[in-house]
Amino acid sequence: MREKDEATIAVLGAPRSGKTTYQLALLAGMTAVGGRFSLHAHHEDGVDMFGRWQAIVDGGQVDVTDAAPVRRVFTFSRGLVPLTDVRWTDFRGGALDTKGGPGGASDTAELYEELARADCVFVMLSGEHFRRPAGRRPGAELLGETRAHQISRLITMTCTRRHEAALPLPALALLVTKADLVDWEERAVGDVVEELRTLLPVAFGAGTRTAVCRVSAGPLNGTGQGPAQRGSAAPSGVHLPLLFALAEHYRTRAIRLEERLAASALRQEQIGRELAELSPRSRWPRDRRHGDLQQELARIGRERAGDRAWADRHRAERRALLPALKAVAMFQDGRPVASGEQEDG
Amino acid sequence: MAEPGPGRLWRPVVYGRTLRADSWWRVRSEGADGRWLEGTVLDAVASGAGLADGPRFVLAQGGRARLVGVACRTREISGSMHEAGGRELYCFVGWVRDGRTGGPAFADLRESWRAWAGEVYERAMAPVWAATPFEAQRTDPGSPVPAPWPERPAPAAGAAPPAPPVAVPPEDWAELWDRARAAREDGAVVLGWSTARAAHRTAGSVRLGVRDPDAPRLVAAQPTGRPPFPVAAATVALLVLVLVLGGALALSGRGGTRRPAPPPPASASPPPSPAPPSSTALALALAKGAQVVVGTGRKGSFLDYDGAKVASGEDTVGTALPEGTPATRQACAAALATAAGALAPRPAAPGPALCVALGGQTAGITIERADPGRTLHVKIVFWPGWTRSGE
Repeated sequence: MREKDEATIAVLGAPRSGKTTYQLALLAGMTAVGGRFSLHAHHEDGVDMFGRWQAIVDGGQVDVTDAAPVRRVFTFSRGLVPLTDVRWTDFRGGALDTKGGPGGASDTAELYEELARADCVFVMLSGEHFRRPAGRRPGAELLGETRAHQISRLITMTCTRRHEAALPLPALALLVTKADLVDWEERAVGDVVEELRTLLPVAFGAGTRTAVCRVSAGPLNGTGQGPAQRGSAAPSGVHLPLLFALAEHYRTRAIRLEERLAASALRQEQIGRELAELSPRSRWPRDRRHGDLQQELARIGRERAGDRAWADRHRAERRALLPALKAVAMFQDGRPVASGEQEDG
Repeated sequence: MAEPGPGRLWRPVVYGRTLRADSWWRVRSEGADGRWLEGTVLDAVASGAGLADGPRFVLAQGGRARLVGVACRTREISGSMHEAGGRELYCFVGWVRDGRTGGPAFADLRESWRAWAGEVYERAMAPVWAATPFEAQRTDPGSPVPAPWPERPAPAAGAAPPAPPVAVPPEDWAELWDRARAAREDGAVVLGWSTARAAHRTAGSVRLGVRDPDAPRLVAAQPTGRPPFPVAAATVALLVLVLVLGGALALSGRGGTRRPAPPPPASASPPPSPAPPSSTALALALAKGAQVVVGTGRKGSFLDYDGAKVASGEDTVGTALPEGTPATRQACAAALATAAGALAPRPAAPGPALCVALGGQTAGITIERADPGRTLHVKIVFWPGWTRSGE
């Protein structure tokens, strides 16, 4: 069986921003994309999640998420080929409101750990807040309801620590959830993006790679709260944040593998020079050192073959995703970029 | 009226969110081991799964503390504080005290849990129900209160320790609960899961009461054509699986590296009626620090999990099967016949199936899924009786 790699998605969002509903809609929606890409939950998780989605379809709503994070692993496939295991933990929105350190909430502490290893951070912002223009500066009420301050603080903390450790920054996907509540003919996407810039400036700062995605689980009940009307569930755009996250994941991994290949090529050259310089005298120490160097060369050769194969695969998988992301608003260092420009990003 | 003695005082535990605040610990005792308490409550609540079908009753012993409580839909115990934003809420209400005794008789609990839990819930929730998220952050440590249940004599402590199969049908819940009330060792009873599958997925407890008597039991494999074994006979003949302290908190992923001594072994008296089943299958979720021990009277463990590696106890014989070979009785017998000794530490990840044997019990272990540093999902099939050639 072909080996899969692993990606981690961390999700930040205020209470009632649609985190759990989005995950259920994503799973339901990805099985209906039409076969090119798919997402499957592992084991009984799939049965459980489809049952919960069906409850929404039948006119219900998701249960509240409590202080026990719900950990899931999904497998992303292209066609029939499983490619990547996606780790995704669903936290309650209130985890943003509590401390995570000593004496704090344990699920908040776990959220911080997820952020530390995330390949992509999804920020859930309910479309309820974007139905009307917010004005030049977001008001205190909007900042509070979206938890923009807390989310900004966590993203800044995560990026700072990654930078200090010379690790790549996570990609950022800003999801306008319940996008069906917004009249997109009246409100231009560009205007909403500008409001997002003022709400979460950290998502458009130097070194960031960010996408803005409109997602909807369906009109549900037209207000963004309460049980769905029967038959109103209709996922739309839900796959785009995931495809963006994976495209960025493959890009970042390919870059790091190329760096590793460059470093191992240097080491190969070094070993080659040392082998050539081994003294012909003192036979026993020479033979021993020769053996050690040859073993190291062989090991490096095997690792390079593996790294090359993975790097090539990551680049190929990223290329396969880019066409689907053409219509997604993407930004690098805060400047708009087209998905094609991201090819060599 | 005489003051209740200290043995009758319990500290309340209330877990549930408010109207406006997505924070959940309302009343939480500072005396009990916080990790154990949190893990036990979260395991029983299971994010509300199945509570629409009915409550779950909890009796748990963890170190010095004993917990009694109920996880339920909040509507069952409060007429006014049970919904937020149009969504039904769920909660846990309980009582905890220092000691290894106490708790209501099951019959009393079933009759009066709504009244008992409702009173505690209303008292805890009323002052903060409409509070802002900031105001509702504070958790109340709770003050000792008299137990709401009448004192009833527990079964004598000298009775055989309860050693049921993991899943227990409703007709055995009362006996299971009352035996647990008399027991002293660590463990938990959670009664009220809708199905064995739901219970399996949150198998942080040793003993799980399953509401649907027709659901497949976690104890599998009755011999063809034989009637199902009575609970009592099956329990004595089968193995006692114990998830030791810290290892029992599978959902939360908590668990320290400390490994307390395993509990006393179950009675080894042979059952008077039908022969034991030919195999027993269990699916477990092990947290870091968990051990799977066997109540055979010998020391040793089938499997130890430290969060990164698995190994067996040094008295256990263990080996791995070739990649792709399923853990059948025949395959394990052949592999163990030439095994050198205990199962050496190896990565806790899906891979070759493992075979272990100790004290006349053999088991095949398949690692199904590993969350690094957290929960290890394994399937274990036990076969009674094994001797290595030459012994």
